[in-house]
Amino acid sequence: MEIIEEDTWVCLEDNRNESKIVKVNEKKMVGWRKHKFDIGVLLHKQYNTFWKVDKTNAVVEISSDQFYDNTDLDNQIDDANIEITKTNKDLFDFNDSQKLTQEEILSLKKQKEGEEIVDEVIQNSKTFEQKTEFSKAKYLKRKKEKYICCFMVLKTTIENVHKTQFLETPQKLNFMRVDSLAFFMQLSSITQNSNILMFDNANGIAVSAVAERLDGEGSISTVFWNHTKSNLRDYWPIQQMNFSEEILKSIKLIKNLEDIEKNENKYTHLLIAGEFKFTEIFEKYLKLVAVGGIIVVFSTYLEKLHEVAEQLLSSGLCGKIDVLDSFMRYHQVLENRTHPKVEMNAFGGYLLQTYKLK
Amino acid sequence: MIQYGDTMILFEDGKPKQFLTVTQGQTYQNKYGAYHHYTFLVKPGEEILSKNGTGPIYLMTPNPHLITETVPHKTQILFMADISMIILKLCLKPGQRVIESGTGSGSLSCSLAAAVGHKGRLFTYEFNKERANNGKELFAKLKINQATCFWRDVYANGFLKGEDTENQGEFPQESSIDAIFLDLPQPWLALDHSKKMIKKGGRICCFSPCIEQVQKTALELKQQGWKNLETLECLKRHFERRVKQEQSLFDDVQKKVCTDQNKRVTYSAGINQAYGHTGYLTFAQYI
Repeated sequence: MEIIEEDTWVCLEDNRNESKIVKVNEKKMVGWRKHKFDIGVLLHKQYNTFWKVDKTNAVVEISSDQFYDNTDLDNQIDDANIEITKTNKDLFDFNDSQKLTQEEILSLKKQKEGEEIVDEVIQNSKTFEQKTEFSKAKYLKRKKEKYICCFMVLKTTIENVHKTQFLETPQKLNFMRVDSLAFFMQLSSITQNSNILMFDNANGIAVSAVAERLDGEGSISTVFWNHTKSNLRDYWPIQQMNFSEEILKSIKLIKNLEDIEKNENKYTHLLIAGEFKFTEIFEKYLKLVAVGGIIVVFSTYLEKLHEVAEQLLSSGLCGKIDVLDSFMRYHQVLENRTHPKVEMNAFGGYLLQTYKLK
Repeated sequence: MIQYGDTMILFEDGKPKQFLTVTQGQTYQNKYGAYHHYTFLVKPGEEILSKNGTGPIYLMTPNPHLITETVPHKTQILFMADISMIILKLCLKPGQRVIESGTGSGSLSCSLAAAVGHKGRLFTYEFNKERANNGKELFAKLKINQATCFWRDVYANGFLKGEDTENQGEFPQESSIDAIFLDLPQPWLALDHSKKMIKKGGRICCFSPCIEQVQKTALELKQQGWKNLETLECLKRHFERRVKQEQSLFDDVQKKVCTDQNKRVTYSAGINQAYGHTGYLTFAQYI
């Protein structure tokens, strides 16, 4: 069983299905969800364990049952056996169904555990008993998410590093949705001993995905948007993945653009993630790509990719130019209530892939 | 450099067409003429002309994406969109051990094998003997040494080493697998066996085309204590570039007078033909 070492980044996933990525150190305070707690407790503990922040802001270990009592509630209703006997015919929105005032709830928060507050809130709700089983569950879910703060500790992976940032500030990832990142990886077909030239304007998420796949066997010459002053440590996706020295060594940070041309071997991949002036990159660096090399570009603008496609076509050096995007949605799967989720992210960006043939 | 015995992917008319094993003394024939195999001993991706000096073809090094596009379809295969999501969501990385069932035509197998790299292992199970042999041949042909294909009915016999002596090679051990992928008509029948194999924290993915299958799978996953269930579908859409000469409504078409004669504009348009549905992917984690 792997344990959490000092200075490791871990992913905390909470009962609202939101996450936070933190570095574990002794006596390290972390602010999250209006709580401030000491994450050092996790040191030398196992991954995939469950924790709760109690009323004194102490982090205590809980069982998985306790955790899943407060999360993923949709999945826990015994759908098939629910009989709908009530309706919302007599429910009116007078905004007086909760007898507790805001001040009372705030003072409760200081004295009681999350579960107790939820009980209290439900007892003081005039309308709770009139609700149908489904809306009771929904109500309970909302209240539990609000008053109970528990989380699960996971190893950082590309998926949760991406998800954490994407929920918060998608613009930092250049609006590269998770499926676009997945497509980017699949289209670039990275194999061991690849010699990759990479331009990244998505804060290094694509670089760390590529570096993980390469596993230190090959090299990635990386140019970041703000290349002159950058340092690998400035890019949190690379830090948060807890890469070994070997993998970090395979990422060659290019600060001086002339270094790109100094590479002895030709590049097997030219990958671009995020906005650059693509045409100038291809004008200058397409000649450095080996015959049979793979070119993948991610952008949020379809027009820019078509501009690239036109340039590559007229150069006559590339074949099989594909421009594509993806459609992805999540589904709620319950025995009697299955449908696509109400909320979806409708735009994930566009990708271009081609092969250099001459 | 390409050598005799290498299996490459043949690009013809700018598209990947088929696998081609470069063999001494053979020729390849297409509408442009004949190509001697000894002219194929060049760098991958270099232009090769026929005896008539026409019809450039290219031999590309097989990579997972190209394999998906060229692999002969013995069954319905998994396409790039689903494959990408499976690899990312199962959090595959080099050195991991993965189980797949069934092998089918081997499209996904090659991508999984590439994702776990030469340090990892892929165990793939197929209950149709012909397809199992086909999988073995494919891995041998493409030199994917980290993949092992077994002929096995996993509903009945699971994934561990059993009494079936026909299956050679190393079998996976209990609780040693990082990720499992099931593309079976009744994935819920293989979940018991899967639970035995998976490591704590490992992930499973079930692919099913019908929502009823997904519901049954999800129910069984929940009952068995798998957590963090998620179901999604993922499709890709292609776009093309069209150069159009814009004609004004006010131009005199009969007299062929154009006010803005040279105005050619590039537009992008979606391509009509696409897959509207392939299947639902259900992910879960074993905790």
